[in-house]
Amino acid sequence: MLSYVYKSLAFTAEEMGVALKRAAFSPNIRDRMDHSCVIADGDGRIVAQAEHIPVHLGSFHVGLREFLSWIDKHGFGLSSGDVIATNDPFITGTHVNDVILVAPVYYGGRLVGLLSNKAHHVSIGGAVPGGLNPDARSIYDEGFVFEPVLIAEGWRLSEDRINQLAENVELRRVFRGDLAAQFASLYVGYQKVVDAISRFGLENYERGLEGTIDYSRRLALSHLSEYMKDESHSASDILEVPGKDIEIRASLRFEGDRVRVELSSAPQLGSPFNAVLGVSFSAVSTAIMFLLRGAVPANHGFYSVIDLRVEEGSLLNPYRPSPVGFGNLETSMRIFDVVSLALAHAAPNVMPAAGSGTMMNVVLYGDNWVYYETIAGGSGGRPDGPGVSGVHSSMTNTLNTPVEVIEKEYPILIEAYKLRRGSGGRGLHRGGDGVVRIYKSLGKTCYVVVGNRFRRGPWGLWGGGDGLPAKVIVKRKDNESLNINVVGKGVLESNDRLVIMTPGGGGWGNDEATY
Amino acid sequence: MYVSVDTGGTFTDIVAICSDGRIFLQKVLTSIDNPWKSISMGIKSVMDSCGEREGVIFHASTIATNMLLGQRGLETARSALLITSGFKDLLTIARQNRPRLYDPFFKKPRQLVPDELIYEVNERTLHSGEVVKKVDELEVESYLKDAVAKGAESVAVVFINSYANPLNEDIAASIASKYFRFVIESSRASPSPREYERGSTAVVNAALMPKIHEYLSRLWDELRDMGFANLYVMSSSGGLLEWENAARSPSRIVESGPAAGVVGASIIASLLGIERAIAFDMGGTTAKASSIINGVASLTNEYEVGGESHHGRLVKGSGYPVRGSFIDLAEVSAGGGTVIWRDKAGAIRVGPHSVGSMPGPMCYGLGGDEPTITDANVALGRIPPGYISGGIKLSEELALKGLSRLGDPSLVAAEAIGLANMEMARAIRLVTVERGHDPELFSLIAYGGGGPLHASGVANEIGVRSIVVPPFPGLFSSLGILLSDHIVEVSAFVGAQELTDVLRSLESRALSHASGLGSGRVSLHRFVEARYKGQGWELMVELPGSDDFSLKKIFDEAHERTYGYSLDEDVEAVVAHVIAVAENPLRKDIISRLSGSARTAFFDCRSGYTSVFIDGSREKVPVYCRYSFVEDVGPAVIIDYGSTIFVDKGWRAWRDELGVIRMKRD
Repeated sequence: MLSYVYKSLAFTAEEMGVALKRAAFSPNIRDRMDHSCVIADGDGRIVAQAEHIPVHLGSFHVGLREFLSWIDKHGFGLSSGDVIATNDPFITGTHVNDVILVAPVYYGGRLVGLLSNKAHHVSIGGAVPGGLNPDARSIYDEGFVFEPVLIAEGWRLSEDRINQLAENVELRRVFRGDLAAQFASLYVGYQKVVDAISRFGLENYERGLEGTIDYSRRLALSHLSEYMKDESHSASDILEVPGKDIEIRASLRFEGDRVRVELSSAPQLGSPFNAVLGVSFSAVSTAIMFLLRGAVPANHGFYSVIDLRVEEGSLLNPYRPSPVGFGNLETSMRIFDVVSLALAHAAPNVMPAAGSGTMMNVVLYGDNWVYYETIAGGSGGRPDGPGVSGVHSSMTNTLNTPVEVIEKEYPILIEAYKLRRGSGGRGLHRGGDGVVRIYKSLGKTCYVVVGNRFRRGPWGLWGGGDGLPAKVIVKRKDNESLNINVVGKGVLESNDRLVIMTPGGGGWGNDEATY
Repeated sequence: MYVSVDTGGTFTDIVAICSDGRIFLQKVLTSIDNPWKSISMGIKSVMDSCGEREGVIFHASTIATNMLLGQRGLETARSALLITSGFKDLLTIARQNRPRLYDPFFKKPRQLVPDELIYEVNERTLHSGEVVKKVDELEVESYLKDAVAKGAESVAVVFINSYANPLNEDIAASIASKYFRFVIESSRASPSPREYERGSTAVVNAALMPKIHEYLSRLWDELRDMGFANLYVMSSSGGLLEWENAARSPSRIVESGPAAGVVGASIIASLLGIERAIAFDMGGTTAKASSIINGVASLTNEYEVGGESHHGRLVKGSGYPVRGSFIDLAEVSAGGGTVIWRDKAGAIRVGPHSVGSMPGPMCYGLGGDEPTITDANVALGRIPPGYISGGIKLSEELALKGLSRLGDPSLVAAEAIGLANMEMARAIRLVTVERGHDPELFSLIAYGGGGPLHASGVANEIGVRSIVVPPFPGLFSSLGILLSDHIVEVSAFVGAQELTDVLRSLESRALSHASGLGSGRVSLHRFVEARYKGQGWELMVELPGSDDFSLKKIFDEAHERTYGYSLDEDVEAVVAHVIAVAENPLRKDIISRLSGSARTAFFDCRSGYTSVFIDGSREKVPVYCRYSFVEDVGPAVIIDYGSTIFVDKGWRAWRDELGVIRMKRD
């Protein structure tokens, strides 16, 4: 019965994701599946989630807690059939582009669960279409920020409310259609959860949730005790921001009933590389989940094993309203890498060398259109073989936008989309290769590019070489060219090209026969 | 005489119905090197038993799936790929995601076309269909010559935006036909946008074509020489294809085997007047479920061949996507050979690892050293001591030996069976509850070696109250093919055309195909895939037979039903489908013959009593032979041909007029 409750909820979370994708309007959601779904108990403890986007998933652990405390603080009474939306990063735990919807589940008059999803809206208002504003000094420069607002009552979507919200963004129809699709996802999930409760009985259902959480916790601790003896594991790595390198350090220690993780970096920045606590937690928990090889259900039981300490007011836990747009895109990747490197010392037979370490975000926009995409790189060499080429490797797992969808929807021609051969680091097990993508602008197009690993490629492990660093070039039609480093913003004229080359993964092990 | 042949990786099941109504069954080992030989020898032997020299052959085969899964001796062809310049790695990058989120050891599927056989062609078509760079014939010729020199056997042509205008693909393919017998264009394999999925469909077909063509044409040569008039192959969507069509687009037969069972179950459901049924097929390594409503199995258009499954659903990115219609199957790793073990937190776990048929479960005594679900059934007495399966006498002693390593054998076995039943129940939930159906209103049609053994346990799990065990459950897929209708599906892009015009022209096309099959009554069904303008995915809605309808109204209702709202947006029709169903004129004939011979015993069976572990203690339970009892029994064990039926506590079983065993929960 226990595992049956869990499995039925895990599958419901997947179905919620399918509904969201199928009803959505924007290519970023309907083609790239830049969205995630979870089911929690009445206290906001996550019970089940679908395998969507890691940076979203871990952030719910912090996000739902923040959401409930906001609701509590503002005396916002929840009723059955309510659906609430917000994109406040200091609640949701990621950035303004990510809108979460939350629906309470009542049974027998009692709050017994929360359903939630998070989707990346490309059009979110703010100073720069696409929301990725390199010059943002606060979240308000990054997009239209709205605190929790009711968008449906009695499971009837309020057209007025979603139209009001849509008034604040560039692409109203798309925003509205995507928000409605998020509603569809909760609507589908709600019916299935209520059905599950009535089938199992409330008592069994709640015992099932409790048992699932407890099981995950025990299993996680048992696996962790095997890899992490009573000693500290530390590592450091570099996050690139415009004009400087920032060191990020992680130290992990297993203490029997928890893993204590300390992250330290720099004071918060006046630029969007800050990562809200939800993002930092998400990156740490994802790296630890890699160590457990995904064998533990990713729910509160697992998350509660992680005791994360990050100084307030720092890059990895900034005060409101610091800008945080790139935190879950780039900073999250580096936190994953540094925790992963520390864990490699504890578990050399599990953890791979560094993957591309950047989501390599590309935003292109013009009159009444905005395109956003992240571009895969190489994954790191592993203990058992080479890394994988052309794949998203840590905090994201979004699909690509099909070339034929890009060309139909936007004034862009894709001239090449192929592997960046030879970019993986050398080693006993080579890193996977990155990707080359060439966009040709068919009209006047604005661009924003945000990435990382431009200065030093992803690290090799145990004597393996680094992968090739990222390289991004704007090639003008008269052959003049401009290199972008970390962040770039500008305009492409007709027939100009934007050439993106993503990093290869690091190599694993020494490939020279001399020992 | 009608013969159906279901070829799996290990065994081929043959069912023959002679003109005088006698039925013969034959099970032969599938030869890997030249399967047509082993099949034709099996057929020859049933022909001799019938004493006849002519007939029709219906065939289902897992050869295509096994090729893609990399079965030894069934390697896919060496194929070349002509692709738009700049997109050499399209199929390797795929959709850039990893199939499993948190697994540091994830892999992408094996590359189907090696790098040295991928040729970038300097050509380009825009999304508008405008050709901005025409194919250079000399350039293409030089690539093809190189491919010939490197030993390629087939060619796929995949150009960006060819769905909008196939001209460049057509030119390249016609040149390729001068060098290769097997050529496929992506725009012909699947004429819709999203280059990776379309390209993958083309490449999968190219990889399968040479071997599937050889297999089917050799089989046909043998059969024609033996006097057969026709060879039909079961398609993944449950229809029948003439063998030449199957050989031309082999991706259409990758789910041929499982589809056959589902088709059989849907016919049983119709005959018994069951409105909602679940086809439940449990074999050695996996269990599959599929829902059947009003006699019609549900179909899906999202499919990956050779992929892994997770939560009973295909893991996106673990296999090669293939477009087309497939029977909507949920598959879980639970079968007779599924391994029972204990995890680090001390919990009993079942699968997903399976021992396969060699060495098989421990009770087979063939060297298996891991306890399995079959061992658990033997240990609990649900398979009576001394039962013979496929010529092997199952050993209770060996079954107990393995399970004892994990704890008290009865308790471990009971828990493992409970877990396996839950896993299988989930597959059923996927195709019922998850599609908005209440499983309590469904009947389970259980077949495959393990289906009848686990049916009552699985039914308890999901609240199903009625079970049907068809005749010959172990060979049921073969029977399914004999009972299949002739189904023809035609579809077309609607685009700027009038929807009703498209439907009418599709209807006349479908009718001409269907009447070509020379069958009985033909019925037509119209569907359209539609969406709000701006959405990227469609909902499939059924349309009335007359042209007097409002698509907006029908779609709004469907959207409201599925997602809880409708939008004040325009609705666009994307693809129209017409399905013609030509009734199989042989069906009634076959069923009556089958029921007639169902009284014949094909196997050794002794009735009596056995001790079964039920609800925590041992009970003395009667054993019956399938065709020797009619009364109301339960709990009981019923011995069948190739399978055992377990009637759990709280269930009653009887045999009805058609010869099927039915079970009801008290």
